[in-house]
Amino acid sequence: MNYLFYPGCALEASSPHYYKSCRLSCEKVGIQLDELEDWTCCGATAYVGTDEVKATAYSARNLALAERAGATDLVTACNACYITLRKSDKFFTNETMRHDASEALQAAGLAYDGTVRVRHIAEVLLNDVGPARIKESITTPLDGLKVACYHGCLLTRPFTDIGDPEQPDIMDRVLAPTGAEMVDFPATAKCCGGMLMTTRREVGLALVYEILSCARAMKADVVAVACPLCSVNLEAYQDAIGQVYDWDRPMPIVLFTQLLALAQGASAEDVGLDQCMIRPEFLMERFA
Amino acid sequence: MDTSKGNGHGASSNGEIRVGVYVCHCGTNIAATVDVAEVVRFAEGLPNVAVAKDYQFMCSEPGQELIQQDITEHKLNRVVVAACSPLMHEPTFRRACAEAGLNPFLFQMANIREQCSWVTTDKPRATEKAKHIVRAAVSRVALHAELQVREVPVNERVLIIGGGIAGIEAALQIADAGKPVILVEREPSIGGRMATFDKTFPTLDCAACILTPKMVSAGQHRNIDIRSYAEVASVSGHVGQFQVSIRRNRRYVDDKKCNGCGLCYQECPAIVSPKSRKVSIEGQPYFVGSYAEGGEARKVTIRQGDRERRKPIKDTPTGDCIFCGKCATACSEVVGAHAIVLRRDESAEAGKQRSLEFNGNCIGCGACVRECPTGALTVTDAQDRQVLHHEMMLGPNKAIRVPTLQAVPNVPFIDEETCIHFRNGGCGHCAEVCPQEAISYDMEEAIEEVEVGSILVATGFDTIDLAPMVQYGWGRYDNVISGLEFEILCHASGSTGGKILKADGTPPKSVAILHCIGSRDEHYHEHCSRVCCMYSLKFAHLVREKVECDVYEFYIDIRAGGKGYEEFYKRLMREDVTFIRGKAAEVTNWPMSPEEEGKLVVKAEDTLLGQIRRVPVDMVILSPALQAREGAQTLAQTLGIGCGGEGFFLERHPKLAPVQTAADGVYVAGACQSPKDIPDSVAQGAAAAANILSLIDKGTFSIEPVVAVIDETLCGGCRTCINMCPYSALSADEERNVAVCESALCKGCGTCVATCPAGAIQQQGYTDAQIRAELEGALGRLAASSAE
Amino acid sequence: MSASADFEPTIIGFLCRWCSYTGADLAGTSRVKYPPNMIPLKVMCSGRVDPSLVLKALADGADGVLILGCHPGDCHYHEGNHKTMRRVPMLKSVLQQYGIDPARVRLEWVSASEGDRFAEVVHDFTEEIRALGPQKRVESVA
Repeated sequence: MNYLFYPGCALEASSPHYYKSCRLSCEKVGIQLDELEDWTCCGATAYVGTDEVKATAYSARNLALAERAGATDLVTACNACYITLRKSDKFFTNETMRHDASEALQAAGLAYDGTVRVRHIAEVLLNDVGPARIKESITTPLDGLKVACYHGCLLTRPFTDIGDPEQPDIMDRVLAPTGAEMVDFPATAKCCGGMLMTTRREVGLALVYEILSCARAMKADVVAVACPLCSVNLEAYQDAIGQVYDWDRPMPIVLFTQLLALAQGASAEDVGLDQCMIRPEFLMERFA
Repeated sequence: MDTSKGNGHGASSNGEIRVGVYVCHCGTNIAATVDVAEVVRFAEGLPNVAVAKDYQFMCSEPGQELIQQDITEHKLNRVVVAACSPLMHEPTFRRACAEAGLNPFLFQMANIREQCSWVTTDKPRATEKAKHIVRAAVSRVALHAELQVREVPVNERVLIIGGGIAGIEAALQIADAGKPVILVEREPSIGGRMATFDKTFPTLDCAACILTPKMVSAGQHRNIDIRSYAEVASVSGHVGQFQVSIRRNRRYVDDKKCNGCGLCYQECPAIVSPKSRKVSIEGQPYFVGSYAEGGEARKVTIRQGDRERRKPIKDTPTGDCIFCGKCATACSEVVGAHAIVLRRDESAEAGKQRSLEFNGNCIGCGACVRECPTGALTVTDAQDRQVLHHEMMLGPNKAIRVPTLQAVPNVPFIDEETCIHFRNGGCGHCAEVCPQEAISYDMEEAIEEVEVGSILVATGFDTIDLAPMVQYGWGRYDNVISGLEFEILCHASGSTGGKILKADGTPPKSVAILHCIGSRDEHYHEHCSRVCCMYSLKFAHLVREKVECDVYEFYIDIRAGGKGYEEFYKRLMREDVTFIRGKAAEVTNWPMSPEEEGKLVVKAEDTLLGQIRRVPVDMVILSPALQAREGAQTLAQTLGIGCGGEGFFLERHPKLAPVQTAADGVYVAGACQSPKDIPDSVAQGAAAAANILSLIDKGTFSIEPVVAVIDETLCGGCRTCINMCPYSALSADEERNVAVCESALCKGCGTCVATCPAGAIQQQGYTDAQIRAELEGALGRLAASSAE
Repeated sequence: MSASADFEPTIIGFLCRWCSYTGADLAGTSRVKYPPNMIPLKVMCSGRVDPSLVLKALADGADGVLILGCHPGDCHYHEGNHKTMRRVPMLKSVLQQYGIDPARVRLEWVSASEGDRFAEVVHDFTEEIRALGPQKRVESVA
């Protein structure tokens, strides 16, 4: 199976290990990710809040490219890219928005007809590949590992068709075949603070601390995430959290595809565990 | 154009049609938007109109007298009133016409209020629309014919569906008036939700003390026939003469033989709760079997006693196993499961001569535990909980039981899921001990046909399913319980004897009560469930009364609109309950600070402080939304009544006919119509009883003569119409090769009229000619067609 | 959008007495506003709406005809609306043969509690007919 893939800026810049492990784990289940040619930034969530029309035109450029490439699905691995592209696609069903955004696209010789389905890699692995085939690809099970799957607030909001908005379990079902134990994780759809970490730091820290304290209470060894921004927010500020809250034992944050690839036989180096800010030493030793 | 098809004319002696048109101002309701004088001037110019007038309030007595005078003075033989909706005042004006000697069906109403003046602000266009509507009515009324209402006799017997407080109240009122009532209740006992409550707001009187006497009177009343554990399967017929099928579910206890002695549930070895159990020897748990429905493992624990300490049972109930073998006997001979085997090992040393062996045949019935004379076999929940909030019950904890000890009728039923006999064919204890031989395991479902004249629906409410609302933690965290579960927890006959306990068996030190769970929430139900504020206040009082405890109420608004309700709220504020104005967002179980350790945390935005608050508590009580009963839609279809947007039964008029429905002879009362508390439900039950008694007292019901009539000279005998009729009113007369209509069965939908290819069927009051004339009037072709 | 914006279409509405007429009354009682272009005609059931009545309305000068009944399953007469549901598509194919845009006839379900929806339906339909422009008179179809 081939999918047209939209990596987004973060996968290129801050989280190359996510991109790498994505490709690895997909290959093991027979999926090839073809990168969308000439893609541009999706505009992320902040731009939509500032100017809907411009933001829509901006991110719809990628949809138009995908449509021109003849793709029915455009897959992304970032929650923010996923939601921004999906919102743009949805805005194209509004006549005024479609009209205004189309004008902008026309200037670049592009058009978007609304035929592309925007999807997240986690949901593709769950629904198109399925736990049975993932199970077949597992060679080095993660027995004994306790994983808290953190979905973030955007993956199933506002579009609830791929999972429950309060308690999604997409990643849990993708990772369950690895043999790791998926702990009950009520904070799974809480907000990681997004950009608040740079604008209202105390609010951002409080939000991340809530998620981390839940993982701690549920006795998780690692938190698995499906978004580069969530990943950075959860791992980069644990020191700062320790200065405000009762937090002294750092919690390793990994991308869910890193765990999947490890279970599929990849090494710690292959999946870039060394690039995690809080290194999961026990995993690095086990999969050296 | 044929204007007289199938109809005689109520014309004056010379055949002249004389229409009187009356345009109502309705104060300013119409006159503010519609130029009434202009409409009158317009009407004066319409064909056949002899007189046109306007008046402030046509429905008033002088307004009606105006029409009546004109009928005489101007020799009117048709009347049009342009005013409100015919659903409102058509009966009023028809009566006025009839009193003046004019056949009431020579009247037509033009709705220029609900569907004209109230729905636009554009005065010229509203006036224009009113003119069209009046012209349509004038055009139509010329073709009206004299019709006679049909009178159908009313059967005195009344069917009441639902034996909650509303149904019981209505049943008693009707039965006390000497009329027979059949009270159908789905549950094994009447009493409904109220029977599960401990106290009632705002007076805090004991629910059982005020309800039980009513239940008993209903049970003993010679005019009330209770059909409990039964449902209405189908309804046919019409007001005055309904044929009802009642399906009586398999109770396995013959209510005619049973005398309610209770020996069966005393002797029954199968317990219902806990649903998952553990039995072990010396602390070693033995997996024994699984519970078919829950899928949860049931485990059994036996503490093995020291051979030396073995003493006569009577003297020392030590709680140690004495290897008496009673459990094994019960399991093999009573239950038939052979899950416990007593081994006698002759070769072993003296102290270990006997041992118990377990195997995987256990069905988790709990019989062994009950048989154990020393208490060595103890039942605990698999999750180590002492109190199972989701499984609590009021009656005996047995497979054969009564729902409460005050049950009416006091006849037990067998719960097939937990009964040993229905699970493996064994046991049969209850049948053996029953002195009346009332128990029959092969009882079949029975259908009973009854005839009644009127039906009251009082089926009550459901509460919203809390399991999908994961953010509130019900079913996920121990000690998050629903309002109805708290009622039983608090109830003196409940599993804890009315003690408020957490899952671990200790009392809570802090309790949060969360209002509006699923109510006033666009994701679930938009409506306010009305009773939650008050019962939440009641809960706060009960908790404070029974336990030394902090109580927090998380509310959006306190809605205390009822007699004595605001006063009760004030009282609770003085009782040191903490009120936090903010809808709770979620309940979590992980600590973010030391004081949250081991607690549930309620998160909410305190809108008075303007802050997000985290309140750690030991127990959370959710107030779930009241919603329509599952199956309400199906029942509504069976009865030919409607359901509103939220699924509650629709009353005929929200203010003026709150207990009547769209179907004549079918009434609603209580929370099935919208969320209601006990006083309102009782009031509606009594109101419905009064409506029904007035129908019975009159003895007949008048039905509009809007039935189908067949012109046999036009009928070609094609029979197309016959399949159209949902009431089998049409049939074929083989001999004459024509269709015939049984007008007593016809309900007047007119579907057959629209189908007849020959135009041979007409609906009285809605003939093709009348509707066509109305169309012409509406579209302004009136002048042209009458000039033809 | 060829029709002029100031064209006011004339619309005939056949309203079933139990659901839609009651719903229309509720719109009034709730003072919901909608265009005054539709003249309501009360019938006992949408099943009473003989297709020839619709044709007559169009022939006599209506620009559009709205048929409103109870939601499927809610019919006061059990299944009268089911009959209408099957008749209307056939009627529409006949309209096409007459050269009348089938969009001029619309069947909708409005329950007694849906005052807002009633207003919405009338509003939408009025605007749709306004966009279609005046109905050319077809003489003697009915």
